[in-house]
Amino acid sequence: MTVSIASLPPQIQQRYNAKLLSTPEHNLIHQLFATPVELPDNNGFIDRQSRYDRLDLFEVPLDDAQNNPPPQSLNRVDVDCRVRVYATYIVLTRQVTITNEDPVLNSAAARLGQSLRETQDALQRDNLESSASVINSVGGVNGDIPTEMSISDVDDVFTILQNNSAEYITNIVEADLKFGTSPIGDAYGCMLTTRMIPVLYNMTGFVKKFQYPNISQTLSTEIGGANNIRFFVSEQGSVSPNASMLGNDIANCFVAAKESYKVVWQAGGKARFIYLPPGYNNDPCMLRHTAGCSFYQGQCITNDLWIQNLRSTGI
Amino acid sequence: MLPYSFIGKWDYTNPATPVAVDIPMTDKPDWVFVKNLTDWGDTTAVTSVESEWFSSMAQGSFIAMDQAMTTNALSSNVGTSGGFTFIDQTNPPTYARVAVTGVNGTTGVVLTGTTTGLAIGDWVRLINIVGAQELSGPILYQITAISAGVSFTLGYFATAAGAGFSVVNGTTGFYQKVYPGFMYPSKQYVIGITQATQAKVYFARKHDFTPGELVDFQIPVPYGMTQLNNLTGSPPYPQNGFGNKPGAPRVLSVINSATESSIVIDYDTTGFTAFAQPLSAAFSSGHSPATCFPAGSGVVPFNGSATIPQSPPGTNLVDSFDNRAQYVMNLGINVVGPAEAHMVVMAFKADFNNAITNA
Repeated sequence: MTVSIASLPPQIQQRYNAKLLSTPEHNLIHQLFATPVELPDNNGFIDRQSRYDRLDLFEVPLDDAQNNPPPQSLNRVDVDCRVRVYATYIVLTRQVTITNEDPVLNSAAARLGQSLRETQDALQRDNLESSASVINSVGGVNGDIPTEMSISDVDDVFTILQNNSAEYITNIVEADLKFGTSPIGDAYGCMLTTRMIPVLYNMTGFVKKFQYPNISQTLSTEIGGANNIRFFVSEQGSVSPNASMLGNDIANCFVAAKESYKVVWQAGGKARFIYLPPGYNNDPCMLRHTAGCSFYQGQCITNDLWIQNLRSTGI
Repeated sequence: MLPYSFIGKWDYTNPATPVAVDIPMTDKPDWVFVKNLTDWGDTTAVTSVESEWFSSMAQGSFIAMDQAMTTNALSSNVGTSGGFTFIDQTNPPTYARVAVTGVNGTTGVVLTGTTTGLAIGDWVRLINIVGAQELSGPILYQITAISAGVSFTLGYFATAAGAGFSVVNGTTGFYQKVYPGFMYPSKQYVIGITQATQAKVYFARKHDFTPGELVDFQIPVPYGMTQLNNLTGSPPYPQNGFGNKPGAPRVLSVINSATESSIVIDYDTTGFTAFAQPLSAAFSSGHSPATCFPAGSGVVPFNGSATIPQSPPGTNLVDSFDNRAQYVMNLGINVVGPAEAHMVVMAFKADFNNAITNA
């Protein structure tokens, strides 16, 4: 047989490179500002936290008769959060694991871990999308309702949170003597989809992260800030398809203050990887491995005044 | 080869006028069948006395056996719509938008030439309703009646309109079938709020608030009644008006009937600005929707009373923030069975269906 490139057997033509290619992983942003709470084991599955409301001011002085003033009533608000269990797994035949050059089980573990973390993040996203109050962007010019986000909308939501006595997430990024930089005020955190990047970059007053005077205390998911809000983006940010007045997609941009929402984990139910070798699960001939993961999680809004869904089109 | 695993068995009996049925499941099925136990084996002519669906089949399709009169012989049948539709509520299907030729702002009747795929209880969004843009956008409406190929009715909206919150008629636009979120409790878009010592709040679809729960509001200026805004942590009378207690209102009672979705709250709105839907042009110029959203758990009212709390206080656990997502198999009108028939559903999944594909 004539030996040429065309007649080489496939095994000779091909080399398997053991260095795996990267798997796309989503930015995990929706738990960034959540208050973590641990639910001890053997204490039920609903975590209740309470808040006592402010008392009224008492600026009227007592009269000369020194009569007791009218009493005030103390008001308490309870917020309940139910923890649920989540789990998934994959099945690999022993034939796969003993014939593959590639350590398939290792990859399975990595992908399960990624899936677990992205699920935790998506649960919080869905919670915020479902329960947070809504403000439409109206300062844009695209003629839809909501419009694309503008700096006036950023200031509106900032004002609402300030009116509601919401506390900042981050402190000021002070100005510095560096060309092309701009300071960022004390800020709330905004979690939004990466599809909003063009809208943000076109927004007057938006400061890109690389224009911060100091980036030592930023995350890779942060994209920039505008006045008193800093923006964190994710590929799995919340989008409501066709939900605008004109039927365009809406980006749900969650603007959070400190202690506005929380995540609850069960003490004995934290993220877990579970490997079962062949022989389990009705497998008498030891033909199948399983690799699984599970976690217990609850998520809820703890103060409805301190988180707002600033909705925007233009994505 | 591993066998199918049994997911579950469900029974239901159809009403006089059968409607689509949702079967909640704990897993994603690969094989579902529904059988008519009432007519099985008798001499009644029945369409789809037994229907099946496999995961390799298209959404909404079915295969079935029809029973002939007198001979009780079976014949095969197949269909592409009105059959089995599997819905993962965390990742629901997306439906195309359909043209609308009119929306009655009082009766809630939406005129459209296409009602295919719609069923009573479905949720729809209205898009770009010319003349009544305040109906367009994020609000999800629930369908309460359908006239095939002619119109469908948004009965919850119509009930609010009957209480004085109607809007002007819309002309053209689109509707789109959608599925709402699954996280509990969810915010609701407000259609109307009465001026009463115990205000009643109307919604456009069934809500999931419960008696005792605290709720809060965000009412933009064009809707009036801005006095209800952001009451969590609000001071007591007189700052909040009319002797109202401090903090967010408590839900006293709820209605989720066939045509009304509403809550009654322990908040006096008699002297507040009247709630009104903004005009189309005003809404189009840029406003947010009016929303009602969860604000905390409260004391459960005494049984039978809308105002007296339980003593000792009852704890409302059903209003906990929760993930209520499910897998649902929707049995369409072509497989749900005939009137008043007792139907049984069974579902199975293939155990070994999720190995990696190229190893």
